[in-house]
Amino acid sequence: MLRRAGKYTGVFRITLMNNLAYIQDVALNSIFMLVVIFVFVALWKTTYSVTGEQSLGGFTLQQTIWYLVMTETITMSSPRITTRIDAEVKGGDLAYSLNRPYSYVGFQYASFMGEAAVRFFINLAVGGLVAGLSVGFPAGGALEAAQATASRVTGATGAVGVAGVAGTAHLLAVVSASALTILMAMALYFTSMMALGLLAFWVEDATALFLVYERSMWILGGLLLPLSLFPAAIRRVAEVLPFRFIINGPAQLAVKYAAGDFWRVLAGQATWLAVTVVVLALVYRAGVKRVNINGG
Amino acid sequence: MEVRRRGGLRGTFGLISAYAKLNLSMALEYRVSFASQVIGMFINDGLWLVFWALYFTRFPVVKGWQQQDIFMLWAVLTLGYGVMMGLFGNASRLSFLILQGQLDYYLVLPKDALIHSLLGRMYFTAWGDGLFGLVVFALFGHPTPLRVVVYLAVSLLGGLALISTVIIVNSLTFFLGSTQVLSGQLYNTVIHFATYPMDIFQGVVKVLLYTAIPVFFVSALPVAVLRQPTWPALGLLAASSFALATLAYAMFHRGLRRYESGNLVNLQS
Repeated sequence: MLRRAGKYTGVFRITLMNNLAYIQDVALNSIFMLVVIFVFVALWKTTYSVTGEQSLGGFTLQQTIWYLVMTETITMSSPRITTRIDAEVKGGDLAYSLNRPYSYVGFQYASFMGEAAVRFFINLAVGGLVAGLSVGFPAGGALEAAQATASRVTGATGAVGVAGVAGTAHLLAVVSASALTILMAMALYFTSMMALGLLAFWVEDATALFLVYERSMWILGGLLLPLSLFPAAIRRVAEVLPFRFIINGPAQLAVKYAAGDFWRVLAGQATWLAVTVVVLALVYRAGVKRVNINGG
Repeated sequence: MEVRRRGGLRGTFGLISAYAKLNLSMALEYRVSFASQVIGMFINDGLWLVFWALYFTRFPVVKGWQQQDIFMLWAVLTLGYGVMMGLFGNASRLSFLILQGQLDYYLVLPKDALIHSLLGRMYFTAWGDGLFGLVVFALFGHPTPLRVVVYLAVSLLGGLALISTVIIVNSLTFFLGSTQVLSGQLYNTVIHFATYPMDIFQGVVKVLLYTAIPVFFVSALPVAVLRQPTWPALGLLAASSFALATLAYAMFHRGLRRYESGNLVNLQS
């Protein structure tokens, strides 16, 4: 079991090192992240200023911007594997991996995560810097919230020591919950996109399908707008789809952590992951039967 | 290295038309793929309008912008982008062509190297953008004969400003070396800024959007002219678009003097 996992850890490590070797290119690619967050800051500063509200859909300006940093980081860091898989199926490269001592899907997942890991931290750093300089860093807010809670509990106004401990514990809970739900979100993204990419076994060109799926995920998953700002009817539709567990769930937890929400998001992710893994396995098995190997 | 040839306006339009026919017939050889790309891009653009519809449902007026205005911005931008990138699909790949020495193909042919190299590839998905722009205008643009003419004019002029900007950022490769990633990012930046109302930007950024990243001429001014057509505004748009095109042309040809051949001199089949 460990030896089997070791193969994929190796693939992960090699992809990671490969991406780190071209870190300048990855960093240059994150210029777009900077632009996107900058534009969001301009849009939402204007929106909050025009409405005169402190909170919209339960989000302050700072929370909205940091929510968008998280949603953009998750989506921009996820490699576009549909086109890669599509090309490998059509070009016949997939056939080469069939007699190798690893699972094609496992190999792709390890490679996907290796690439995503580098992109994730760079995008988060770039987006976070723009957001932090524009609307402040959220850790301060978490500490203040914990301090206020501690003050209420102890009845003292200067309960800094208790607040410090509570703030650190809160921060740890936010970071671990975010890390876990982001990893689950990436897995969910990978399994669904991989299954779509494998449709190349049957469909001549699935570009339209990829775009529709991805853009639906962006809109209904809350990439550009928190779900709480959606009209009620559309929010109800978004809530029954898996997209919110890829984008909205982890991002909202990172900026507005609540233990109850964490367990709800995790349960939703686990359920949908189980569904997409089964679908992926079925699609892969059916697809591989259609491979024709003619020597070479 | 510089090889400049002039074929006259009629010759240039003849070349564009011939390439458009050839590229389209090539696309239609793979009809399913072509249709899939066009439909995919159409839906992609549509989902952006869904975002704006959701936004404006919650916030009906922001800095004087309403849902109708942003829909017209998308109608203008996508038609301009669609026509220009549909016909001159190599514009966003110029940096790559320069770096790989692949301009050689066009230098040995008897037409202007810039126009010819831009025509070398049709960006199929761009036709989905163009179609999207037309449909959005037909549905939400209150089309009258006059408004249709103004819409087509401002979209094409905005598209000319856009493709000129794309040529300029890609021509940086002549002067700075390997700028493929940088040029790509600048290209994305221009497009991204162009899809938002300019009134939300302030200070230095707003100045930049009028100058170094000339988004104002790509989307904001065309939409303003469509909203309230006047001859001076249309004249300003036309003058700025042609000025950007002249700058792009001059920059490409100035850069071409520094171009080093990739020893790829052969004829494209």
